[in-house]
Amino acid sequence: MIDSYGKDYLILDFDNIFITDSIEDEIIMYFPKDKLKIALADIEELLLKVFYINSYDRKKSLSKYSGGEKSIICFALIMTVIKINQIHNLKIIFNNIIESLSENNRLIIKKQMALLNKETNISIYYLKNGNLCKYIL
Amino acid sequence: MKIILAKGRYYFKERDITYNVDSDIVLNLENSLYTISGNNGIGKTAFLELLLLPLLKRNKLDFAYLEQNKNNQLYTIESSLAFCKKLDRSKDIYINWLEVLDYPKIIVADEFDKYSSSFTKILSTKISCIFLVSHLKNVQSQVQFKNIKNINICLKDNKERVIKIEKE
Repeated sequence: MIDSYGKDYLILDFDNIFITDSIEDEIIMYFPKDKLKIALADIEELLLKVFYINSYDRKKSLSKYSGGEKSIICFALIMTVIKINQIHNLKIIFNNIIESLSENNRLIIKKQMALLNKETNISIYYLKNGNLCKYIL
Repeated sequence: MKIILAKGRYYFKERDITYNVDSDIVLNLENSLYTISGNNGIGKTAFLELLLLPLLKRNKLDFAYLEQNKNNQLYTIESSLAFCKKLDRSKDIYINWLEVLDYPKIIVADEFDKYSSSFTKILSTKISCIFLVSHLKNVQSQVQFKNIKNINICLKDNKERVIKIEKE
């Protein structure tokens, strides 16, 4: 997948979803020191007040979250990265991530992504039977 | 054959999770698809691992369990097959595995339908019952089972999980 799309797209794959083992460490990976506080506050607000992940703990091992919760954390992380680092025109492929979400969480994510799209012009894609399809926001 | 998930309150200290089964749930293992539904984080995987798989084991039934993260399990399947000198690279890995397991009649699959090509291959074997956690809506149309039911898990009083069976 990286061979085919890695040059032009950011690929988020359910089977290899995180690099580190906690939300805090993921944040440290993606932000410079002076933005860590605001990034952590941002993701915390998203996870607790938008997605209602009540089991959220920034130090908790990511393996302790359910599959769907991991997908939500992945969305929240990428939204925070795009927003705080002011990344524009990013093309993202979600592989087997949307499929792990319950109906209500899909709707929330769609709404959040549509809002982000207005500010940063992101586009979301997914693979269906090996073909790349654009997700309508 | 039928097995029963008995009425009761089940508490699992290791995961601090409680399931309530209001009345006996009879599970028909012939010609059946049971989907397992519920919100993200409600405990669907834990239901499989803490209640359903032990129930199948207690009844001495052969089954294959397909985990939520395919990649992790594939390494295990491949190395187990290699260790038993049964790895056949000319075959699909799942078919190779199910063949070595003598084609279990029961499949327990955790969101495995998202890997559609692997799932279709598994469906082509002679399965009599599938338990499937899924958020996708098209699974019923992919199978031809007579008995299709949904096991729903929902939260009661923000604490305990209630398990109910409902006909599709």
